[in-house]
Amino acid sequence: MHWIQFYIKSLLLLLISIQLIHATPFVPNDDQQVLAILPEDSSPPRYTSSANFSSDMNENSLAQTSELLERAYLQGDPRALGQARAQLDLTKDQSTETLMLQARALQSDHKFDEAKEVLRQILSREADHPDALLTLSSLLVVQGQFAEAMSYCKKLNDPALRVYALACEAQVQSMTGKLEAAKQTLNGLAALAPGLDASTARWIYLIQADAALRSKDIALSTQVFDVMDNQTVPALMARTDWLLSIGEYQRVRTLLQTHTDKDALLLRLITAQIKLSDPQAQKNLALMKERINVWQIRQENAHMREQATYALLSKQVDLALQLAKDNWQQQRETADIVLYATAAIEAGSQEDIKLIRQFMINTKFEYSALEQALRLGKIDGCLHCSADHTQNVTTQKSGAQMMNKDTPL
Amino acid sequence: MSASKKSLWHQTYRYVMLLSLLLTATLVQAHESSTAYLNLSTNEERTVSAEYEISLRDLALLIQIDPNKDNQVNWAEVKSQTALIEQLITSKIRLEGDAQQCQITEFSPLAINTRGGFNYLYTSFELKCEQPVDSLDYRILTGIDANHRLILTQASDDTPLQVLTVGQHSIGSEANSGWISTVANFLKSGIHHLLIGWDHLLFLFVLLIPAVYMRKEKTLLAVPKPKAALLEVFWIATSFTLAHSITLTLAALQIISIPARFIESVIALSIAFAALNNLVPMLRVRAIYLAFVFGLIHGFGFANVLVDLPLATSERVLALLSFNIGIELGQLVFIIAVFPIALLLRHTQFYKWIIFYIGSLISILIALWWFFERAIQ
Repeated sequence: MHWIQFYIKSLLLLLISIQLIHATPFVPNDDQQVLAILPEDSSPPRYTSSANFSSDMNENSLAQTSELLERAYLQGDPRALGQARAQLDLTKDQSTETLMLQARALQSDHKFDEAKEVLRQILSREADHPDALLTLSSLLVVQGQFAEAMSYCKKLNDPALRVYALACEAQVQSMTGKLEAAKQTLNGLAALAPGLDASTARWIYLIQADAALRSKDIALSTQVFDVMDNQTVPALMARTDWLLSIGEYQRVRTLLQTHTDKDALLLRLITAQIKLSDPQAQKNLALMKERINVWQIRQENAHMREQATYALLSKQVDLALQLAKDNWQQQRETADIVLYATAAIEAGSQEDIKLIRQFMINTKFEYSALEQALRLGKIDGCLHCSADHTQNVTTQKSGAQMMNKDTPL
Repeated sequence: MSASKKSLWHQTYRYVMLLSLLLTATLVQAHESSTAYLNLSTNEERTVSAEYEISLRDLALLIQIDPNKDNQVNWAEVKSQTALIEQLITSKIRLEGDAQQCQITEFSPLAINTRGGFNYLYTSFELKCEQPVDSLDYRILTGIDANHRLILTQASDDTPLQVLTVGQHSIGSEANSGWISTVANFLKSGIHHLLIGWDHLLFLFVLLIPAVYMRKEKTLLAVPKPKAALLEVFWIATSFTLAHSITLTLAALQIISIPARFIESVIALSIAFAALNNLVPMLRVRAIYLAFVFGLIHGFGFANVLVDLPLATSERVLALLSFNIGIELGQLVFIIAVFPIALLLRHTQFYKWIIFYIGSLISILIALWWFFERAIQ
């Protein structure tokens, strides 16, 4: 009777979607009703009176543009990216600093090839420009071009940049068969992290969180998430990915229930809600659908990961696989590999399963739970769940790394 | 550390601090890009009704809607800026017809709309235009957000929606040309026509509800396996489609012409007959034959949408094909929505008495009412 359940769920989703899409305008009853929360560091309004309407020019600074790009990343706010781009469009400055900001904006917009071109332009001016080297390396990691990524890390020769060079190398190593060695390096760097600025510390913690997830290292995850913040989007993504992987759905729901405005977090919330049979999941799926409709109308292609995840959650397996494959052509971070693998297994596509396994063999990408899932052709959102996981999680909070061998999924 | 080293470190540290934000996982975990909505409806006497929606997050970049700077925008704060908001719209959204600017004559009170979980300011206003609107100059968020887009829809015709950046744009005619738009428009029109055509839906309904039953010595028995019912529905749908495609083609290409009033009246009678046949099997014929015979009549009904359109023959054929596919899709949507429920409930007394018997009875009454309305009044 699965088809009946699917049918009823689809009908419900359709009804909710129609309601959302055709939401009628309303006049709030209460003057004090809060209608929007603005970002803490949002720019002041452009016009104070109608006399200003004729002026559309802004006084921009590179620092302001940089802050906007930072907000775009930390708060998952593409509006800030749009504002940064508007500022960059207005400038005629071709200094290295401006080019660097342009590269970052292009990278954030998923225009990887254009970003790489700008970065190479910077490196042709200054072959050892540290920011360009690091950004290029990170771009290549995102695209799964690990050898080339490492070559740029190796060019960071200045002893003053030792922390960054080591983190850069550890990031590549963690994806290419040297996960344990990378973890050791990162542990050393994490010890220095409190003395570093917040963003550098977060970067190190995020690489550690990814390593903990893939190696099912409870001790490391506890260590990382104890010090990592609980507000920024990348930190919340990493934390909830870990919690989902060990089946802590209730905690994910609690953490994310006020973050429905950020798609990446909303999708993780829905995953947890589905696992908990929470009826709110259907409502949030409809919300997500409404946003995807707008992306499609706008013909934006920077959301394939989110669209594929949505398709998986709403049981459109074939569509999910297609989107995950398209996304795979663009980016190959852990989340992308897991997504593609999940879609391939759900769709029963042996060809795709084989391709992912081959990628893991070629690059020596370590993720034993995922490898096992691919081998068995069976996957669960809770990749690390095993019969005894609950006990392990609650009783071995500071315990040693768990062994994955032959752990049933 | 030497001075040059210090300078290098200072510069590098600043860069690296910014850069590290972008390393590892994922760049912008995109949520809502800046999008506004404009819907235009052309009324009689050269007036245009416009509905414009802009996210409160975007509005805050333009006008002070958070005077107490607590980062929370409440309704009183929005309303307090009504005059400036109206001036902003007047200044930054300009519609033109034949190079003559339309004048905003009246704003309705402000309201809020929710899209994708975010609140938008909803404004509606009337414009007076001397000529049909053919151009839009849109300047909201110019130089502020390069990703801002306006989704423009026009309610009064079949113009497809347009996604616009800030700047001057031709609207309507450009988007409405070409065979793709003909196909899209008539496909949409076909789906729309079937789904809003209560008579066609009611006819399908009365044909579908007995599909989960078989008659054995005047007794209704629910089919034991869904497969038989599915096959029955497949044949009913195919038969209805085949029949109405024949007459739709003949009528739309103006080979046969039958007065619309006559056709509409016979369609009403066809529903009453099919529903009566559910209660008292008169013809002892299978529903697929009924679907075919009456499908011929319904085809003429569908064609009424196309007959009066000023289209060239090639365009008419394309429109006909698209419209017909649209009808099939609409039909499929209806069957997918209704038939699984019938399958699910076929063993219950509720289905038998409320849906089948009382449903058929009510259908007869509605159809007869339509008949008298169409034929006599």
